[in-house]
Amino acid sequence: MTIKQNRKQKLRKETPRPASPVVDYLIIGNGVAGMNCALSIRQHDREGTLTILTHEPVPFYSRPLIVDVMTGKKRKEDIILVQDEEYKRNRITLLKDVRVEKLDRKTRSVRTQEGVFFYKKLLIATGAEPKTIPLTGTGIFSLRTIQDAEVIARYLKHVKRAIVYGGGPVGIKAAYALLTAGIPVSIIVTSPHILSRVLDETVAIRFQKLFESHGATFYLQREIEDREGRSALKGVITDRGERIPGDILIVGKGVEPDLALIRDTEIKAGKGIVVNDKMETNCENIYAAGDVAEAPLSAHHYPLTTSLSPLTNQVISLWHVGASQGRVAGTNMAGSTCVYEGGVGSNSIEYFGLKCISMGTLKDTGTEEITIEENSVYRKYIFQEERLIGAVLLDDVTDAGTLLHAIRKGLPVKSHLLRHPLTPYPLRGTESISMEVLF
Amino acid sequence: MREIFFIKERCVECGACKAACIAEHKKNYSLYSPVSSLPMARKRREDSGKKPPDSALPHPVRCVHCEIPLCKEACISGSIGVADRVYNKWDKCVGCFMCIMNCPYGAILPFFNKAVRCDECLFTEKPACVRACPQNALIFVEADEFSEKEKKRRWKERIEKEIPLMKAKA
Repeated sequence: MTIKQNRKQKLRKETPRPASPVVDYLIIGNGVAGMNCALSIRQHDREGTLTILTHEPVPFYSRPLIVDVMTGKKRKEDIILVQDEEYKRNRITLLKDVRVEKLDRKTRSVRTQEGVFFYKKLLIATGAEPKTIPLTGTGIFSLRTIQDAEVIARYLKHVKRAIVYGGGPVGIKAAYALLTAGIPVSIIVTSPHILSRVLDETVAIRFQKLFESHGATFYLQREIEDREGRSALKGVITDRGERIPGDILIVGKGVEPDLALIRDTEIKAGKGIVVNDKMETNCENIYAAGDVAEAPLSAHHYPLTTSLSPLTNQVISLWHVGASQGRVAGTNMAGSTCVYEGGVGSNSIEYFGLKCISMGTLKDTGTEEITIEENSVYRKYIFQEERLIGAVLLDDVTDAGTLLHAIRKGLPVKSHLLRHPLTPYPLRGTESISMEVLF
Repeated sequence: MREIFFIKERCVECGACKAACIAEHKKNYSLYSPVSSLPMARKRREDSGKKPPDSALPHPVRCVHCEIPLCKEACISGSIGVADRVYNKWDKCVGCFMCIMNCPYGAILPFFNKAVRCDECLFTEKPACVRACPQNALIFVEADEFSEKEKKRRWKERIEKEIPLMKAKA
């Protein structure tokens, strides 16, 4: 027996090691979460090898600004945030145009067309894919990557009238970019008012009127049934039988997490990959962050009495949430400890000079709403008992950060806010900076 | 790290700090052109327009220059940089106001379609407002140093007030 075992061991030793070396930190996805993770690892660990795999042919760019590339307001080089030299300086290996095919947890490897990569710690930051509609053919585009934007930019030269499907932040932003480029837009929205998940009705209607005065047409509570035009798009037909003319259809129906990589693995997933407050998945040494992760909400934000318990996980597809998740994941991967405080859904929008910031929960049971309207300033606070859980600020957006901080930490600020509704940060500057009020 | 502190009792509301701030952040360092040109040069100081409940005096809205700046994480255009202090790059800002939404101190202000903060005048020994203040109401010192000075100053004031009273009683 012993001899046999020895032989076996010898055989094992003699089997050739895989050609590709083991990477200390492997990151799949070069979005905001992946990039922030890489930079955060480099802050804690200067030595370990770090590789980022991405299916896109460009280095890290700003995804929210691709609408400006679409209309030609900005060049492609302008929105690239981290140049190739900076990757080299931080000793990060960026492999572009690499699609990850399979994840093998037992051998700790990732298979791509370029070869097999072995990892010690892995971050999955594959992001999200835009929701598609059953219609196909030329003239129908979704807007997610910089390549999409470039393809649309080429197509837009022959476009006289555009259709945007979806009244979410993506759709409205695309519509705004087209309007500023001088192309009239028809916007088809499924819900009763635009930006229904972001804004309340009063503000949404104000934005809708602003868009209409600049040449947009809204079709609310409608869905697209069919397309018109065989080769090139000439228009669409809604479920109410209306015919809306247009040469291009941009679909902005939102995004959903890209879970193709983990479909046949043991990694637990609901809507996205379930992670704890250190961004770890249920498998060892595998982390997830960004649009693909389903992270716990801010524990302070949702008290037990609401429909959402503090243990609820949720996918929040926002730039700054992805960034902070990436930072937390990177710190934990590098060996230090950092706890994710939980994200709060918040959006900042600015169209035709009208600024608006909305944050937190806007519709929930057992809440109290307080609206303040003073010469063109509109503010709405949503309280639950003593806590602030949501707010909408229109036009005057100063101090929005302090309100978001109060929501994130669940601070009892109601009595103070009722006394000074427009100055949430009371003791600013002067000798009496007493931080106990807010911190 | 040194910070700007404001001593309320010394302020006479001359507004020299505001003018100096505007001039400092305009490239040619003159006062007349930034005040008269449109859009105006950056003004990084809050003044009495908003009227905080406690005082209507002009005072600096300070950036704390956090170790992990949340504003930098939120910035979509890469316009916020960190070099010892946190600063905004004026030409790169696209006016999305994500940084304003994320700063827990409310230290970033919207100015037309750009976000603006006090960067304590990068690459200078003292911020312009501190240099300009004729009353020494604005001082640029370490936090510990300020609290010690403040204690001494208050003690001195109290004595100055109380000694005449005691004399009168006697």
